Amino acid sequence: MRHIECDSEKCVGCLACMTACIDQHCADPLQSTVSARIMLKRADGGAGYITTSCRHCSGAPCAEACPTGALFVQTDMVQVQREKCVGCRACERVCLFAVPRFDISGIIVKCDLCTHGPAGVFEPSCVNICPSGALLMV
Amino acid sequence: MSNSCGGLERKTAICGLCGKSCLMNAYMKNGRLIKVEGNRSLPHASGHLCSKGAAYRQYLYHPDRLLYPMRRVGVRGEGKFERISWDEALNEISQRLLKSRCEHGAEQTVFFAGHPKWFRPQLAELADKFGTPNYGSESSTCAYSVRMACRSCFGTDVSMIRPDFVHCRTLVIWGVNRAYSDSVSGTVSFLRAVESGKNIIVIDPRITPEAQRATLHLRPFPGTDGALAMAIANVMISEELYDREFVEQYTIGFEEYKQHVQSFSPERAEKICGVPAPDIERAARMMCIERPTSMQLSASPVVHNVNGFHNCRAVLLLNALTGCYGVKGGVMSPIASKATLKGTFAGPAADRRQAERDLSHSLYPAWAALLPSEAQLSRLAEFIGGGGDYPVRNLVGFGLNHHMWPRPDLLEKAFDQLKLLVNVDLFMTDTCRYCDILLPASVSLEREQIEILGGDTVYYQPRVVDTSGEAKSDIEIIFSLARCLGFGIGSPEMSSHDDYLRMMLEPTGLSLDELRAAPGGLLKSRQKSMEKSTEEIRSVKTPSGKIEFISTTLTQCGVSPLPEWRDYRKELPMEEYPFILATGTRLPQLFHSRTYRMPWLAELEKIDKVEIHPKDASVLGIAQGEPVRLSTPFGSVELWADLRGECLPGVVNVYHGSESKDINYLLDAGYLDPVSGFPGFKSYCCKIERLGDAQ
Ligand code: SF4
Ligand code: SF4
Ligand code: SF4
Repeated sequence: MRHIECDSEKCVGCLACMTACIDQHCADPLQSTVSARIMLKRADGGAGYITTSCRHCSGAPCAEACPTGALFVQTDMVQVQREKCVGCRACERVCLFAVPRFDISGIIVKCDLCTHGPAGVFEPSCVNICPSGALLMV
Repeated sequence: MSNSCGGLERKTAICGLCGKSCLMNAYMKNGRLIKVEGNRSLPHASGHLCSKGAAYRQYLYHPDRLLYPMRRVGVRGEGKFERISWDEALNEISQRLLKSRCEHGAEQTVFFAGHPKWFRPQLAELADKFGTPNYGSESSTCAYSVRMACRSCFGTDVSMIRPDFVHCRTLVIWGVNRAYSDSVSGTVSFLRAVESGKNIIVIDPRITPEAQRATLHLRPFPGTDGALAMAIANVMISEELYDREFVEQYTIGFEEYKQHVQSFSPERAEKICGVPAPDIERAARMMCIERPTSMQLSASPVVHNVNGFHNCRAVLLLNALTGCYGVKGGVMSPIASKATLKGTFAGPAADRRQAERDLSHSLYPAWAALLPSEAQLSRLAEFIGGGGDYPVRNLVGFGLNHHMWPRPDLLEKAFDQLKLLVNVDLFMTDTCRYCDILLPASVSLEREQIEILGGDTVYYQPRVVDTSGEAKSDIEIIFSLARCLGFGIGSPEMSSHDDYLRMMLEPTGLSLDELRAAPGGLLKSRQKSMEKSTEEIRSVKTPSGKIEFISTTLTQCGVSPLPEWRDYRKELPMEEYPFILATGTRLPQLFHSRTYRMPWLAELEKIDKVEIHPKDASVLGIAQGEPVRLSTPFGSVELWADLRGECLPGVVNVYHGSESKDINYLLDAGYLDPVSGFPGFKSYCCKIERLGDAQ
């Protein structure tokens, strides 16, 4: 299914994709929140950068685990409907990529390929902002 | 430019959050900004923003924004204020300043410019017309030592000009992490240079994104750049790689410099800097053989050392040896420029009248000779505390932030001595809490802006959002304050932001009205192309008219005219505090003190951290994420340890500017470069202990 790949050879670790994701999704500019993108640092402390986000797995285990239907498969992506999330974190337990993140009110934040947001549907904001060309929608 | 689709309006804008000019799309709904992204429609737009620019919405609508002029009602530092009107505020400030001038003289008032920088020429004029030579800026600790060094060698500020990414064959990036600190177009130009296969030499203790893409990465210990540069010069000269013809024709003092660098063999430099001798040789060869060679030198890291000025001179003089000065692909590349704006920070700065009466004049004679446009104010706390030739009664700041100096506590104490402390700012900062009167400034999207795009197109950006509260553009505040003080700024005198824009446009031959009416706010400048020839660039404005290995001005000022080498590690208590402490190492989400208050950025990771190499950490038994105590001779702070392979072993890195855990409290206020007055931010000493082990 569609998802965003990060080329660690190109990524410069500038974190622009992280904030662009927040700006796309967070309606209230005064609110603290989390980005659906994740900056991974190498466990051995080595230099180098890579950011990740949802793989949009086919047969998504998170959607199956979700008791409220907040996560569901929609044509070629795993969609998220935050209003339905009750913060049970069942998805977090089954996701192999540690993707689901939770904002300050405990509600899921996950990549929706920028299909939601206060300004509407956009080309994925992370891809759009990335200065190094590391991010691609595949 | 604006266009609407589906209730959304898209406007183009200039970000300016960090003082750079990245172009953005601002999506608006009912007059409110609801999303930003990089712009792709304007000429030469990079199409991207950085992490800070992407959080612009939180910056604009932040609850800490100052919205009204205010007067302090509590004690200094407490943060209690009452709202007053603009008239009341400006009258009170001007009455008090005029009375003080009448009773004690104008020089007891200091005007200070922090960040941003665009209005500085007009603030300098305000100070000058008020009659005080004591106008200074945050450049007392950033960039101006580089500028001094440039002027002492080349008579002009070489470092302000972008390297010629396109035409160079070799690109030297000396201490710059542009992906985290430059405009996005700077990052993109660099990445293009990498793609096009240039030789890239990066000199940086850390493994930065640039360093990862380098052909050759030299990792000197902080503060040893001078020894490294002189060793590179040594190789260039001993292997006869340098441009002999250029040196003969355009420079003076080469024979002395040749003698001077003889003792800096690559092997000796390896011992001082930690850079392998063969790499030093390779760098020298690449810079001279694979020409043209361009260089980018950062505004701060090299000069944030007690020998920083001399180190910087040594680095700059490499450009005289390669002979790539004033050629395409070199430094000061003759690139045609068809549009310039008047009265901007990038333009020439006016000299002050009575500069010799400023507070720093006798302390820093080389600064005084090379930078007549402002005073060196890195010892501001000392001056206010009564340590200058005369007292300081009033301090009027635009973006003044006392956390930028080593030992901010000294300023917190000194502020009590002031009769009047005024700050114009965007946010209720820690410094604002000490002020008598606060004036609210507008952010970039709240004012009309003009920029040159791609060398010849003038871009006018109308106001994108309504101004928050009663905030005003800094320039309007300067004009109104001048009026209240009994004079005007500019000739003809300017009284509004419009007047200011008209003045800026003068060289372009465009009128503000036609620019405003132009589609997208875009018009080509009518200025004639001003391409300087190589010969013109090479007839430099030093006292000798030549590029000076031996500086005439420095000789006159009693400063060593050749780059000296001095090892700070021999002067610091490194036995007890064995790590080199480099502060201010860039993190992409922070811009000095400005973005700490923005959770979208500040919460991307916990930023109260010290970065340390995993090897150093393992010797100390410190694991990733563990709390540690960092101590210097001036105190200690608890931080968490971020084990980063980017760090040079033996060097730890801490970001600056935090109000809650400011590393500057732990620095030595007297640890300054005697020539430039710059603090040794990048090379102090500290020890690190696991919190459990610390006493
Ligand atoms: S949240 Fe995890 S499990 Fe669900 S689709 Fe994304 S990557 Fe797969
Ligand atoms: S925006 Fe691009 S370069 Fe920057 S961190 Fe994200 S993926 Fe990496
Ligand atoms: S570098 Fe970032 S903060 Fe600065 S102007 Fe560009 S987008 Fe804005």
